Amino acid sequence: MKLLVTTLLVSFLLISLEAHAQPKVVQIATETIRLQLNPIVSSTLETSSDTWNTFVFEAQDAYQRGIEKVNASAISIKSNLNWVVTVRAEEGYFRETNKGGEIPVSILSVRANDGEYVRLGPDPIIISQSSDLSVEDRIKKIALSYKAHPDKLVHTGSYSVNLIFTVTSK
Amino acid sequence: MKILLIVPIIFLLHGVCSASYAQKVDARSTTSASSTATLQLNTFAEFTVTPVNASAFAFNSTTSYESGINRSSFSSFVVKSNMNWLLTIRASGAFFAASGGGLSNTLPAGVISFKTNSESTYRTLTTTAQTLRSGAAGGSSQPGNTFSIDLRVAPGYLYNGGLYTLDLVYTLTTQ
Repeated sequence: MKLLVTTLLVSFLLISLEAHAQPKVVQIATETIRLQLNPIVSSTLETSSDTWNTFVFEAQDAYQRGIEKVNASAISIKSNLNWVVTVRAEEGYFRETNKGGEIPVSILSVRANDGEYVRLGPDPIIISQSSDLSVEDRIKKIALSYKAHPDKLVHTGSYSVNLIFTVTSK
Repeated sequence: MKILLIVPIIFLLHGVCSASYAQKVDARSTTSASSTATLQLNTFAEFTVTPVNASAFAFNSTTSYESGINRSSFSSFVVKSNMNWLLTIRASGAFFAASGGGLSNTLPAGVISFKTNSESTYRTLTTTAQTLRSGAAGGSSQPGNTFSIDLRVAPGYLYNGGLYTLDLVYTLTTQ
């Protein structure tokens, strides 16, 4: 009988200990999350002022030295691919407004950041590109500077041409 | 544990037999007998997680890359327990697994944020378990035992395009 009582007491103690056990893991489940990161190359053209693209030649000095507009505009790129930026003129000449005059577009040069100025033409010219898609290249702002240097013998008037900047993945 | 169960049974049988024997010896006396019904209610707790809106997060635009994609009711949960409970969430690893060559192996779990549908603030997912929700004993109708989670994923542009996967690990413990 004593043995039974002792056994029962021990069993009650064990049950009691079990009831006060530490928190225990009873179930684990997993769930998979999937991300589809599609290739993206995004670019926007930013301008510094309303007159960033207007070059006014009045003084002789302007004709002699040309007019430079440093950081007049910029291209902001956001990409998860390597990219290349090209620029070209829509056509080979500036066209005189409402008249038939024209000036070769090559009198206008452009440079990206601190690069060299390159003369514009109707064919695309690479002005900047990413390398190894570094962190800096994935969100990049490229400052654009322009220099116009027309011949002083050009007929007076207002001339314009469209410039086309293209950012493509490579 | 079997020994513990058998011993009370022997004890009860012994009591019943003793009572029967007493009745035969003296039929004129009034006798009574009692027995104890013992219920062993073991700890029970389980949960189900059901994908509700768990298709791949597809990033196609600058807005989605920069602002992220919010997914309400990514999954729903039902907890049933006879004890107070705690459900945690963690990432299975620090980085996503990339499918295909040339992809980033550094897309961190931290691009995921989560919250329960009753919360207003997202928390960043880590490999350390964080409390998703705790609750009281009860079934699915117990307030708080049925809920869903919302996810937000904002990878930015730092990772190459491709398909990435990561496991979310949910752990239920009793308190």
